[in-house]
Amino acid sequence: MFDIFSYFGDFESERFVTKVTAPMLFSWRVFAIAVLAALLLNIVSSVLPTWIALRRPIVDQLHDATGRDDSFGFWRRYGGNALVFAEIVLIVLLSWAILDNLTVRTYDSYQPLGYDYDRLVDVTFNSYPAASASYHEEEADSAAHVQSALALMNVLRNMPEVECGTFVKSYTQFEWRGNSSSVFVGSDTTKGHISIDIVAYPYGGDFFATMGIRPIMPEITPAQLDRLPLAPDEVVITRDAALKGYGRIDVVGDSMKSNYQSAFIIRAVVDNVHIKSFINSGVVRFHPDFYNPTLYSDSPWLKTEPTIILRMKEGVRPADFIRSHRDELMQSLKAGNYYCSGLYDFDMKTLRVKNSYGITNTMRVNVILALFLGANVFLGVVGTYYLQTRRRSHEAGLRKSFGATSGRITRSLMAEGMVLTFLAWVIGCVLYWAIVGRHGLTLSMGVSLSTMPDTWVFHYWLHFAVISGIVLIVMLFATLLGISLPAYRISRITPVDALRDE
Amino acid sequence: MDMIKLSGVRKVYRTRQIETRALDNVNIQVPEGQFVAIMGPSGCGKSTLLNIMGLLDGPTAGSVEIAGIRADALKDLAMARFRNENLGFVFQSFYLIPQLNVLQNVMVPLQYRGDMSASQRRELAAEALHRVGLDARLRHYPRQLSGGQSQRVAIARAIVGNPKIILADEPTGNLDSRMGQDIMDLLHGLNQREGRTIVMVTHNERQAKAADRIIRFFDGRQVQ
Repeated sequence: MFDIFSYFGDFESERFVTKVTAPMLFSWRVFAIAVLAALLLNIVSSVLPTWIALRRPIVDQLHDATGRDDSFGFWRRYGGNALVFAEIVLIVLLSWAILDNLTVRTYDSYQPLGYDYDRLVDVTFNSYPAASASYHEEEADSAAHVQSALALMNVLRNMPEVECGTFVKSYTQFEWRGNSSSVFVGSDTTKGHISIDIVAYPYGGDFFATMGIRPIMPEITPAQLDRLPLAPDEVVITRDAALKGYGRIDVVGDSMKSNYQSAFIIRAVVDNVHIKSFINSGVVRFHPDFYNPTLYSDSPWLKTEPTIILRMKEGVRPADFIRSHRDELMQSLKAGNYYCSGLYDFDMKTLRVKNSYGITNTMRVNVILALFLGANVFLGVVGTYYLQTRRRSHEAGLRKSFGATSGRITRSLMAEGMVLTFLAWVIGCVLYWAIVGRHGLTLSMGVSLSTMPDTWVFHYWLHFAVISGIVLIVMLFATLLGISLPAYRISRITPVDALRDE
Repeated sequence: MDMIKLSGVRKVYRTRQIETRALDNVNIQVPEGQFVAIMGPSGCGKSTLLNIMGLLDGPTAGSVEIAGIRADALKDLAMARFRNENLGFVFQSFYLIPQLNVLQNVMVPLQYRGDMSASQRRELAAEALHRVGLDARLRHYPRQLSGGQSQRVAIARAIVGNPKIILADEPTGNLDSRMGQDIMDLLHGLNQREGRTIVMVTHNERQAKAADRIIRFFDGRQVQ
């Protein structure tokens, strides 16, 4: 059985335990239960009132059969029809569960990544196998690898469309989660700690300029940050890492320490970045990796094939660059034992990584289920109000004969529906909080809670208020739709036709 | 002065296959303060005529003047206001709203008078109920009333807005003869004491004879 929960990760806050929250609705078992519950609810709300009505004295049934069992008296009408009210309350509960999940996932997906990926091209390289005719034994040592990699970089950087470029290791690329570590704020382990994702970056190149990661402390350009002299124990952290660890962003010169490492000095703070586009992560430490082949020619990562990220100049679209140069570069871009094996639009690469994680399918299934359930919920509200309103055409005719206008009747019907929905929403939200919400709300997926930036998602009551507001908007929209169609119809027919409609 | 004037009124109901002529070239003038009974066999167009007089339905051709105003040409808002201020309806099936008590039912037409407070509405409704002899039933619900009492409430609802014209569609059709006579006495009292113009559809020859004038219909045409 497909288990969508496997993507929801483990969360550390007691308040946000996910095992009893909205995402559960996206398992097939709970989904089936929800569908059966909806069916049962519909049966109960239609059959039960009929059964009760049929047990009443025949004279009362005949009285009702005249079609006069309606009024505009809100409480008399709906107070006597508690099942409809209960149905709307249950729909609010279901909507809450669906929209909580969908809203948080959508919010995460559309968060700015924090770096400028619009003009990035990913160039990958392979090595000729030893048995190949193109393989050169003399190019196989570390020094030759370094020279080959630099030669490749030189060719690419000098292309007219290219602004700058950087070497990256596979695990330093975005869309890949770096190691995460628990670090203590300050130089000793007696102070509070935060969990932080670590991204090793190639020091000495144009990493920040190429990726478009913006420094905020000190106020310098990405290119200046690349040239900022750093020692191996000096790091760059993100804004949320600073806020989460120190409660401020002016942390340049402060230190952090992990249990098994010496203290790191913070030399710069950059804007938040997502190390994966489908999660909302901003607590990152950029750890300089002193790969620079001119200084550290024996750096181990240069013994493997390089990957180069290129930033295109303003106005150059990666897709155009790739279309123009792919064949040429894959045929002729070689140095030592390396040859160009592919050019990719960074955006497309992001998509591929998502696919490789199963995230794309997960999100699709997530959205499809949410849309299916949401459509049922929505149609349930619309249908309930549609039928409720249609039953009242006789009353509308009576009111018209005594001077009500079409607009007045429509407004009255809508106002009643809105009040009913609002009350059901209040009760539904309180019930959701009492039954499910107090145990946990939907969170971002895939990473440890402690490395997440501080957003509304993690503020319990703010989160509750945001989703409740969205539920209210959706419910009111469904209410208006459900009422307006029949209300428009019955408000336009002549009083005599409405009175005849018994 | 003619309170109601119908000129060349025709009413045709059309479906894809059938065309039914409910009224054909009807010309009627009803002077102010007259009590008119409309009679005729079932399906002859009596109720259609009443509906057109009451602006509940429009004529296919011809014109409808009420109190000197070409009422059938009014727009929705103006027609609703005109209906509210000038016309009161009494239906055969009472059409009371079962979830509202007697007082609230009578207040319904006053809800559409914008310049009236809730206490004024209650006061006027109570007064109308007093005039039909139901002072003691203000808090009762329609289910707790007899047919005659229900029709009295319907009459109170029809007169509460002080309309010039009362249109009654077989107001005693669902009542026994004693209750029917009570209702007729009430309508005659409204006509004679208050000078209201009353147009009543009835099958009862005796009740019709008590009216100032009888208009007879047959097959959509006025025959008398």
